[in-house]
Amino acid sequence: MSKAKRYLLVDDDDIISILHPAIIKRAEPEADIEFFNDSVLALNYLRELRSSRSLPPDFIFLDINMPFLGGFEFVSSFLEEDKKFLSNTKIIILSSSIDSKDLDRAKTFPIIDDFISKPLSIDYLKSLLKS
Amino acid sequence: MFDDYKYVQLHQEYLELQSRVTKFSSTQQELIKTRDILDQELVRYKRLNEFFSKAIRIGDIEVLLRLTCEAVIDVFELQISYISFHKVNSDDDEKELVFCEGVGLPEKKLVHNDLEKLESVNIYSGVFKQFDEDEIELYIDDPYLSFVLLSKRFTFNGEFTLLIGAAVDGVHKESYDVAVPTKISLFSIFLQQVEAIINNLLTLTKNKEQLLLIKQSEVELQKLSLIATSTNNAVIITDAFGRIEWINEAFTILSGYKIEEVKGKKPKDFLQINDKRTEKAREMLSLSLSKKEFIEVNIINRSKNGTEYTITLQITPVFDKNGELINFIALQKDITEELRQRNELEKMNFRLNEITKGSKVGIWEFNPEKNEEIWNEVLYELYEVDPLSDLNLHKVWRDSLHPDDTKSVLEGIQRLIKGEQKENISEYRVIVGPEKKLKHVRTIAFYEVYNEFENRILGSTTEITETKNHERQLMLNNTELKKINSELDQFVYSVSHDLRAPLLSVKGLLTLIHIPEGDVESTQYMELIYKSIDRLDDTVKEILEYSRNARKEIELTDFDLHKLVSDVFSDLRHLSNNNVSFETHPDGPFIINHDKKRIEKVLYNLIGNGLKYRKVGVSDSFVHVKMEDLEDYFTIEVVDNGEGIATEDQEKVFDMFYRASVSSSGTGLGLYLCKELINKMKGEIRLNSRKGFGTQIKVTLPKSYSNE
Repeated sequence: MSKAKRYLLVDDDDIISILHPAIIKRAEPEADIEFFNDSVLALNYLRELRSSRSLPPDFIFLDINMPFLGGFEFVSSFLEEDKKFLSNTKIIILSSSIDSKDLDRAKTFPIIDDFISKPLSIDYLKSLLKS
Repeated sequence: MFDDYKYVQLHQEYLELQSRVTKFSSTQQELIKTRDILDQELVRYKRLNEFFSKAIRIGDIEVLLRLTCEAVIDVFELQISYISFHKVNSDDDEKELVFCEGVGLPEKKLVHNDLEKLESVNIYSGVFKQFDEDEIELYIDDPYLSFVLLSKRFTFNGEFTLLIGAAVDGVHKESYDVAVPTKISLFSIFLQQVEAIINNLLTLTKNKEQLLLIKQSEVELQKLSLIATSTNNAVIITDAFGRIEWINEAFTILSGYKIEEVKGKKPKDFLQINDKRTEKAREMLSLSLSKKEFIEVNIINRSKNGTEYTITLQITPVFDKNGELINFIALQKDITEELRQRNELEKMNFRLNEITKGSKVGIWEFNPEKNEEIWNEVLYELYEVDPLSDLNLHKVWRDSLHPDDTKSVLEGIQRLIKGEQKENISEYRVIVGPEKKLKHVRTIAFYEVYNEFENRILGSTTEITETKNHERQLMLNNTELKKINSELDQFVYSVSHDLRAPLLSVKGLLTLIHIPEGDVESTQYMELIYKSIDRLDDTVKEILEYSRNARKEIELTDFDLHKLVSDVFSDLRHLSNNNVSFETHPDGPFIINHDKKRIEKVLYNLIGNGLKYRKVGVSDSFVHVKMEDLEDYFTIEVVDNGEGIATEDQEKVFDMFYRASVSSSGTGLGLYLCKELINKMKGEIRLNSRKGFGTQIKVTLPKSYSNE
């Protein structure tokens, strides 16, 4: 593994804040993980990265149901500000919903790479890293 | 020597001869005179003869009288002649014919036939003086016109009076006097002849008139019988005693009787029904007939074959010129059908009234020209108006209209009046009664051409206050229901999310737990925990699907069913550890227009069951899916050779939470959900299975949905 990947995780569930970083570490022990349980703060973090001309994260994992700013609103808010910054970032929606409306909505965002059901699995992460 | 005696004798003889000659010549003169008179008489006779031969051929009284008048002067060489001919007992001047010829009479009108009057009136300085009944003499007090009058009056059948007179003027009086005796006798002959000729002419004229009258009445009769024959109404002509003389064909058709059967009979003896029903009519009839008056009456007759029929009978008495009753003409109009229809109509009208009253339908009729309206009972009740009041009902209605509805309602009525619309249906509010009650009504109004002068607006009005209130309540309920539904949707979504989130976290956390190698017991427990979590998750998912199926409408899209089946299978193949062979029929695109999401869920369950409940320990397990396109339906058949379902369980497998197998981790909701999904799509699901051999499930779905 040439270089540690950078992950941005946004989820308001406290257990997920422990669970998902742990699973990612299993798949990639050197992973650089930023976890936000507040999507607004996460958005600010991205904005800072951009303004400081830092590199964007390699992966963003987004929950759908979050207070103030849901996963889709998060994506569209940032896209309004900058369309190019995240063009090399893989954005994945993580959901506990089985409502097909959510999946349909995800499909309307070309920038969203995948829509998967929770929890993250080590196998899925490994396949993601390979591609 | 001449003898003196001889001379004397000779002279004597000479004298005698001379006297003879004188005598002779006077005789000769007498003779000549007589011959002249005779010649004159002859001429007169000739002229008279000419006149008669002419007169006898004349067919017109006026021409005859004019000729007579002229002849008096010509034939008798008189200077004045007059004739008056008039109808007795008539004051009409036109009926009088007066002719005058000759000198000195200025105006024929001056000569009047009215002798009573003329006697006392001076006419042209002369007077008429009556001698006796038949002769009058006209004196004219003029030196040049003093003359004698010849005059004669005749009467014909007591109907006409003829007065003929002639006179000679003073100058010719002398010669007239000479000829008077012969002239008078001749004049008498002349008058007798004239009388005869006039008499003859009058008789002839009378005959002619009668002939003409007969001819005319013959034509009338022909016309009448033509009408009587061609009319659809039965006609009977009787004599003055009511015995049948003639009937028309319509009578024969109506009554069945032919002329030879009824001729001479009286209609009341064989035709009319003599019972209570016709008692009054028969009384009226006999009264009018005895008075010889026209009558119209409804009466019941019996035809030859016994059928009763009702007629309107009109009897007209016919009188001759002298007012003698000669015939009765009876016209019979069959009104049996008319009466039946009128009865029917009255009955229907009564029923309609009862029905509208019973069903509370208000009926009204509006006359736009007169601004008048009539109502049935129901409307008086609806608008709370006293039926005995003489209010203008149209005004009452107008005043009752709710202010917000007045404009649109009146415009609707105007459109009908102008003919822009044939029918108008409207719902509006009215405020009625002393309590100012608000009512909702529904009105259907029609435009009707009442007759060639007037049009009417007809309509029915029903109170729909209650319906309106229900409707409003229903709308409120509906809105609330929609709100509740959407809240429920949100609730289910949140619950599923909140239920599943921790469950999925647990699942994730389990993957982090490291179990030392060789710890078989812990590994086994771990697998059981996974299984339990999956089952719980499946149950939550299926409950969610169920609640969504009940609320979501059918959404039709075009899609390839074959591809969907294949996708579902590849998604589920891990359930069978790839040990099941899978086939589809047909093995190619199968495009349908249907609710893709619901069918997908059905397929997940059916194919999933086929894979899950395969027979353990066999290598030839299969799941086959067969799709078939029928005219109005298409079918999906899922067949496996798995465990099969025992006959006693087959009825229950579609029940909620029923599990027929203990071999797998079902939720007991799968087939129940399938049934619910298929019901929602108005389809059918049938199961055919044998324990130990396999299961066949056939789903039938309609192709189209009519709008509901």
